[in-house]
Amino acid sequence: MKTFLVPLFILALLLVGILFLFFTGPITTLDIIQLAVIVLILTGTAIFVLDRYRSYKRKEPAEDEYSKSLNQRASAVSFYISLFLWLAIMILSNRLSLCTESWITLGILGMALTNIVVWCYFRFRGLKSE
Amino acid sequence: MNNRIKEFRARFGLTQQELADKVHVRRETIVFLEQNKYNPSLLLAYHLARVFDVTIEELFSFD
Repeated sequence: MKTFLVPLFILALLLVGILFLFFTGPITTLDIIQLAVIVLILTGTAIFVLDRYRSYKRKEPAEDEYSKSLNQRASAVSFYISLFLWLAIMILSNRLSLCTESWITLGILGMALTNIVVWCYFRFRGLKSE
Repeated sequence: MNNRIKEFRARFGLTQQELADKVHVRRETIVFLEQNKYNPSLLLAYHLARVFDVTIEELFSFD
């Protein structure tokens, strides 16, 4: 049950975030960018939940050594990419006029997006070098 | 590293799902193993070799 509860909780949290975005003031370009990223994250989460659900239906273990390796590899690679993302944000913040909250939001969403993209990359490419 | 999992699986008439159930992994792990996109742990290699009643060396080989 824990297998479904955690991703579903994340999904619910993101949905609440989207609703909050829409019902609290005018929508700016930054809001649209954030929304697009949130939709991508939602799609990634949906793939993840579907994957788990399929395993549950087949009475397979929710995680095995391959899926654990996949998660570890994706986390390790996305960590390094995230470092450069924050570095880019630091440089851009001196040149572009955005409020601090927006930069932090962009950074967090960027990290989440990076993790999903890297996970999908290794999911389809495989872990041959492991 | 190459392996002969697909060959042995066909010889034993097992589906990927059946083999996955026997070695307690997900079906996708078997898929990636057969495509040589993943190198298994020693424990999984041992379990696979036991299912096919062969040695690890017979199942896996280095180029």
